[in-house]
Amino acid sequence: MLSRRNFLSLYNQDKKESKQTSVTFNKPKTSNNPADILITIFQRGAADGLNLVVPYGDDDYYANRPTLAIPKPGNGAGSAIDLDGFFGLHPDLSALLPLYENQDLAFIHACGTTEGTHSHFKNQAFIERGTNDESFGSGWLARYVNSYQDEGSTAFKSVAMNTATPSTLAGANAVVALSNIEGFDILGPVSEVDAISTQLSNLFSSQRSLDRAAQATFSAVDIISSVNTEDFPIENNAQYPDSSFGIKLRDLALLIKAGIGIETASVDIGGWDTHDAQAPALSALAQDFAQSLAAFYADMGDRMANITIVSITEFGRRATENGSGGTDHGTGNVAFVMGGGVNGGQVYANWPGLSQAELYGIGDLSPTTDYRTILAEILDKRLFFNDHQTAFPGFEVPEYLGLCATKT
Amino acid sequence: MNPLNRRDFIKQTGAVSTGAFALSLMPTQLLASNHSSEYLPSSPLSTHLINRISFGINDEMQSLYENLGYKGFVDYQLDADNIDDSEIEDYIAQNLPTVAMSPREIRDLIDDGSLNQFKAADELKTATFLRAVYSKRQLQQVMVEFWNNHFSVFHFDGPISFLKTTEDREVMRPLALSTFAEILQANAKSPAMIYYLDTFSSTKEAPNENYAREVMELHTLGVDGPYTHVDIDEIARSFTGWQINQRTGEFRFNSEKHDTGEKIVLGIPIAAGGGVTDGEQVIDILANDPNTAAFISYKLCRHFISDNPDKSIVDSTTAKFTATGGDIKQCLRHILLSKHFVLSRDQKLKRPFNYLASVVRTMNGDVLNNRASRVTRFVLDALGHQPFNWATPDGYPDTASYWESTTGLLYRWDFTNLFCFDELEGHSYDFEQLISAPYSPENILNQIHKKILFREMNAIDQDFLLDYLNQGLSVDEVSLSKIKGAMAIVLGSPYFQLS
Repeated sequence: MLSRRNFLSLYNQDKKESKQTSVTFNKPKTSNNPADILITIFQRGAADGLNLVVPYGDDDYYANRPTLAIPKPGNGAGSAIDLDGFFGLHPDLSALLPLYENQDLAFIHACGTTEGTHSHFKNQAFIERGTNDESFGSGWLARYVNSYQDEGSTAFKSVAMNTATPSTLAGANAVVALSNIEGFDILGPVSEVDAISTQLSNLFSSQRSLDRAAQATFSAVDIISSVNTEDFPIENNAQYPDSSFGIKLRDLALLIKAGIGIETASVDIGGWDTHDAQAPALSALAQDFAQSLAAFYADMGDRMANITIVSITEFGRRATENGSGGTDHGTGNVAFVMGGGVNGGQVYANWPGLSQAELYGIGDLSPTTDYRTILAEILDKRLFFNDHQTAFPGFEVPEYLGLCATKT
Repeated sequence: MNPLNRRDFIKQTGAVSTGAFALSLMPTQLLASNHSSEYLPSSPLSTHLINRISFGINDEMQSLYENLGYKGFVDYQLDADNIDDSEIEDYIAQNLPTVAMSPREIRDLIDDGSLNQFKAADELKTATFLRAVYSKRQLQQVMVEFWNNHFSVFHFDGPISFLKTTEDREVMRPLALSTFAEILQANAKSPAMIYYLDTFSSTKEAPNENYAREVMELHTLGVDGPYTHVDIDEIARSFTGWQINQRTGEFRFNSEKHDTGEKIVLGIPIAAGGGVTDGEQVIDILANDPNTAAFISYKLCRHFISDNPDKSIVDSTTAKFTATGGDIKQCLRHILLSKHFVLSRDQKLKRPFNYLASVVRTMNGDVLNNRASRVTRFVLDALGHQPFNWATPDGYPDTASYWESTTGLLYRWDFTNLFCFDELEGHSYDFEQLISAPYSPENILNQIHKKILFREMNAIDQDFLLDYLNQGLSVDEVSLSKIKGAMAIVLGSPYFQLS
């Protein structure tokens, strides 16, 4: 993977006098916002929820997927791990089992939306916007973070562990998007770099979104340069996979420990679009996903009491397997919610069934719980935000599932 | 004049939450489209045109424009085949040999251990950047990039690491300025696309719908096009048996795997008993659909005019597309000669690849060596805009809202700072050619306007730059490091990030 340390190695080897600038500023005070830190994960490509959290108690699942189905628990290697007598966990998600048993992890099945399509791009945009009203150019999380002002907020109020800004945070007043914290600094000769930064900053002083991004960059550089990464080692022997997703969560954990004011964070994990030869691809992804989250959970330790993580994907996959050993685009799916405030150890599902008569549209798992119902409950109970029409315009939030405890 | 700048403010107050973080509530519904550029003085029309139809203005393009005039320059660039491009092509042929190889030649070299399995992919990425920087056929390169992005495939998806080389050479480059139908037809038979969207595994017993969906949603009709799931099924059946020859890596049609039944696509019947012609007919139907004309015209206008192009220019381009059978040259000429184009100054943010190429072009940089190519690939990875590395079939976003990010700007500045100070591995440029004596602040500012920005900054920003230059003044001359710093500042500023 990329390392900013490598960026420094780009220096012409004959010219050693240039070094990074080092600017020290006071550490920002952490936010007074007592809300949970909210981490949203987007599993891009439409993860196959039926094989991740397996409805092994539904015989139609096996009828629909003669070669791809995960065997019922107790059928040797590769079989599902029982969760509640009806649902079972994909064996490559086993790293998440202790979290579930600690009641810090819940699954919501048959989750999705009845307003969506089978287009990855359209559905991702819809879900990240939080409304089907395309006149909104902003994301649901952006509208939430823009809804309040807090003197203690820093440039890191909203952070995307990514090179670019995901649509969930599009339109946020300030977003830091960073893919790697090593050497996150403005480079150039020591004698000039501060003066160059000053003038660059002056030239980006308008109120355009480009200028706001530039100002966020200067602030983020200042803050990151105040963090000594060695002060925040990985704790509790957490073992992050050396994957893109694992590294993002590892870096995010460090930034949270450093107390630089992260209030929300967004992380992507891609590759879930398994039209062809699904089994090995899904196994590898499931392992990466579960081990990374389990490592983050271990690393955060007691801090998890004030962190809520929700992981969603654009839609589910077809109930029946296709002829290429894969699955095509569907509707209903599974969502993951974890954190100290989560009423975990349960699979929340108003299960619609998988027989031909019960399937939705052209053969999909019916979405009996809208994804926004989950997000609305988390925003309300863990982040003290219940203006649902701001976050999810046009969506009538039904009764909550009881996914999490009300934060006090 | 010396207004309090942000860093001074932080130093004086110890505060961190300043500037943009004195958060004011804004109507968030408006934010994503808030790209007014009124605060930058208009660039000359020549600068505007050249920046949009190339990977960055430089002296050579400016002289050509002065000789040919506006229309003449557009037509000259549209007639790409008559522009001699042998210099960079000779370099590529000699130094990046896999770019000219067939899939079989590349795979044989990988199999016998004489070629790293990602070497061909790396060489294609490098050739793409070098063409952007050095090709004389700039508008053609812009359109090659446009089509490669429109028909995006992912270099890390199995054999695409070397199949893409053929697609770039035999589909995108020769057809970039042809008709849309020709490009679409050739792309449908391109093994890279056949692999990427799973057509290769689609059989009459088990048709795969991946390509069938995306060819409508992403390549032709657009996501709001008038298709149903039945159309997806019918198109999937039409392309059954379209495979890749395992030996040669070329397209093959396997009639044994083809569903010969009748299909009805968008209401148009395709008679039973057909073979490879079924898929070809589907392509014809899609290429000629009015929704396709509108969708491709919209994307062209978004690319060349603004992130939210006016409906009237999209409509008139659509009419041109329809009237000319999807002739790309005619559509481009229509767009580039429109008043919408002329009035769209600074409404596009350069994407990272374009930004890097434009820095090197404007500075007349020399990056023709392996060390420089490694650096370029690294920086493009860090910026998230490496050619052929977008994992999903929708291609890299073509709007500023996606690219305006902290990491995005930081790495642009880092690249440019190091480049200007001759600190970037493998990169060099001829300083004397750009800036000549006397090194007075006013003369340097003047040359920066003329030879780097090809436009003037507003008075306030000129003062900022003069302040900076004056800090390095001794015996009436600005120090070389201040001059280089001034170049880094303007190249990192909105005057050069926007086009």
